[in-house]
Amino acid sequence: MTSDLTTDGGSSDAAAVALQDIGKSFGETEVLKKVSFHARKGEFLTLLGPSGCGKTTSLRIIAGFEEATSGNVMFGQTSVNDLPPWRRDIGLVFQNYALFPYMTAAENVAFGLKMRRVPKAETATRVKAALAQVGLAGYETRHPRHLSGGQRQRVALARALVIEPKLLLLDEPLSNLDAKLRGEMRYELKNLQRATGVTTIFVTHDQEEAFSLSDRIVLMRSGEIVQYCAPDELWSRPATAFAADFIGVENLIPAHVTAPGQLTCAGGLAVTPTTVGFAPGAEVILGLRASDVAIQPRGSTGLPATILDGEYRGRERLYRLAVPGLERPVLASAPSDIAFDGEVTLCLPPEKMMVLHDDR
Amino acid sequence: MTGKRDIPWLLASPGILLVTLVALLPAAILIVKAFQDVDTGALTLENFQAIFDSKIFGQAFWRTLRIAFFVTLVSVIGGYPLALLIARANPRYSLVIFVIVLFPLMVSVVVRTFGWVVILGPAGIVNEALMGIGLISEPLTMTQNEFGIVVGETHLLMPYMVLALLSVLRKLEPQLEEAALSLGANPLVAFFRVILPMTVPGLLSGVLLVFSLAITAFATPLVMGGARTPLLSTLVYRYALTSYDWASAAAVAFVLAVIAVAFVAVQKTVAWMWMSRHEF
Repeated sequence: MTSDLTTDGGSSDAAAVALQDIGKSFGETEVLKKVSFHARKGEFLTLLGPSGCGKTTSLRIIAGFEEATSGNVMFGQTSVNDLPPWRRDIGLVFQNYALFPYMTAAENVAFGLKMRRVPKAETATRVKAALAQVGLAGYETRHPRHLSGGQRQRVALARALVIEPKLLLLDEPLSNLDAKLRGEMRYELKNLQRATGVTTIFVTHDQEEAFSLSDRIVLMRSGEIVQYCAPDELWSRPATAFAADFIGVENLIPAHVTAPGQLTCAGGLAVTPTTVGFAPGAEVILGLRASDVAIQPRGSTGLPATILDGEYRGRERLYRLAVPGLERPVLASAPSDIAFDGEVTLCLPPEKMMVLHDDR
Repeated sequence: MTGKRDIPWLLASPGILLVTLVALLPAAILIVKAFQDVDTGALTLENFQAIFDSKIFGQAFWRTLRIAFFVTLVSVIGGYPLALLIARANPRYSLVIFVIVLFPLMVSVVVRTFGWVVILGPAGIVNEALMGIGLISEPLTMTQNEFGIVVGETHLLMPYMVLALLSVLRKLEPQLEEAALSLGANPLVAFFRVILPMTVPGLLSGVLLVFSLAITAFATPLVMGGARTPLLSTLVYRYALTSYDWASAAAVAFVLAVIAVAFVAVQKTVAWMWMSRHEF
């Protein structure tokens, strides 16, 4: 599952921050079950998962707001288990910005420098530079209530970055913004992270954000890591049916391994995926993206199918098709300039079939 | 004909009538009396001249302000941590603390005050305990003086401070404190630089409530302070019902009202200045 650990030999020598076997319980509820991952220096690591998966708790343990029930949090080679939040030297950005409302933008940004007793003149220069870096030059004397959501989030970013933290922690920072702004901020966030080179841990439930921003992704579920890898690997090789479902693989068909390399789907259809990876007798899930299913006119080689309905999606159309031998309809997308109707032929490419452990 | 706009007035009319009859009208009569010669009814300032000349009025005046000041101070110092505790504690415990804090408001003022007499009196448990461990040889005087009044009034008025502070503390986002901690502020610094400034509006309304209730309190100073430590409120009672000097009673009551109004004016000004400076 933690496939990427093998590529760097499982050593965390280069790790800027590492969680080692972190467990966390609130009373009877176990929210983290022996979770281990690390972020390399300068890396953008994303904790991805549905609500309640333990991603925010992990972040709060790294920040020092929660104490782990077991395990170690390492910054470089030192354990920070006993270090309070105000000594951890972290920059933190919240979903609700958490700007100090009675302070101006500049005063907000200067707060961390004041706490570090940075001389006044230097503080002024650094605050100005930090606000300019997030595109808010000239907004120094504005109060948060006179700033838009996007501007507030920029001030929060400047406030977290101006102290030049060892680690930048982002707790769903884009979730409160509207869709268009979210896209812009995503782009700027990535540029800012590249420019400063700060090791970043980002928490989100949005797979699109995770794919576009991350160097690596930790996919979590009920306090456990499901998959820990680079975005392209998660996209092309989700480790389990849950992972496939979470990143939006449309067709997830229960199936049974009948012979080596042979699957029978619920409903009786037999398929032969290129790679199976399960011994005969295993109950699995066959995953296939709608974009990988090809629709052709009736008469071509393939499976006969009947179109139930089609949904216009702009560039493409998403069809639901009834296939003899399959209990549930298959989803397939095709360019929207050709409209299919009635009887067609479906092509399910064996090399695109993902045979997945059913953990849903 | 009654229009839609008249309905609120109609519904409120019993209340308005009651307030007019039992509060506004007597207050108006009182003000007039304070400026009237008792015998001739002519307008005069002699009533004020008389009370300003009396030694007991001067003492009661300053004592009233002094006691209200200390009651307010102790309510802030004691009430803030309590409010913080209630706002932060796990809901089950916070409800218990909340009920305990509000309890004084549900007990009759006489019962509560006599309770304090039993506790603080010459043979009360505090004196017994202190003498028992040999810390003092003579009982301390903790009732029939200003100390007793401050204790009794604080007990009664601190809940108002706690309620006023809770109203702002409950609205405070916990992330604000966490942001401060992450930026390098220890919890004490985070409290004074982030939480305290955010709660100033609640603190100011708490101060207004406690101070105005403290200067006008009557039963507690009467029982805890006794005859030797009159306040303006008990002085009004003494003039009116002991010496039947209604003119002096009216004048003292007028002074008390002036103090209250002046304090409200000061509080509102401070609040307005603070709000506009911090762009709330």
